Amino acid sequence: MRDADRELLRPELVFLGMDAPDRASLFSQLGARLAPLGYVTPDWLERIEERERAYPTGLATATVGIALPHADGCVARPYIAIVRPLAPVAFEPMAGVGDTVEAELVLNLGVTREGGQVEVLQGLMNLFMQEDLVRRLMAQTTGEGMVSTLLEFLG
Amino acid sequence: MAARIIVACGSGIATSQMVAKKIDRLLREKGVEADVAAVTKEALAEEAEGADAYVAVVKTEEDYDVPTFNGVAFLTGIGEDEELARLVEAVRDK
Repeated sequence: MRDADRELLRPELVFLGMDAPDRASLFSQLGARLAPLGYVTPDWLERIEERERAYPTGLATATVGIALPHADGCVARPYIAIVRPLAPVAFEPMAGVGDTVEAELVLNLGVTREGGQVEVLQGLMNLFMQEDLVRRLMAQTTGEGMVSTLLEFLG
Repeated sequence: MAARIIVACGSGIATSQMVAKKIDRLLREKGVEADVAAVTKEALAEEAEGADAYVAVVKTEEDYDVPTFNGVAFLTGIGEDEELARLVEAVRDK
């Protein structure tokens, strides 16, 4: 993986045990953390809500329910933020395929059109097909642990 | 001439690019030549004309006059083999 791709994942971008009863709460808490760190522009919250409403990103993978919220044009510096909420948060299913997804992990893809971060995203999708890896990932208790487990897998 | 496959999601970034890249690799492995492009939902109607297959990673209200495939299967791997087999069938002789 390219260094630029490895740098998308950082312990400061991992939020474990976020107390978010719903999607709106999760987005607003996440936005409040990302903005001061310089990753997103001030309109991020508005855009991500709008984008998620129009094009939902809940995904029932072979292992856990996840969501991949992302929005165009409000990323100041490419990143991938990971939220593991205290309890699963409901996301509507991507492409309207299937039921509402109870997301145990939310990956906010701070990607840009020209960034070419497709490989790391592809790697993440492959990860969610593998139960032993997901179990290890979900057992992490720190941001550092989460990032190092992911990087180990992504290579 | 190679078949043209379009993959659409809301923004044309992230998910559609992931799916496009994966389909490109899977088809290559099967020896099927195809031009796989990620497009935005806005560009879809125009892009669907002349395409041999449309892989959806977004809900579309309209029907396009082109064989349509479930892009989510390529993201999760669930039902991927079946969807790939259908896709190969649709584009093989194009």
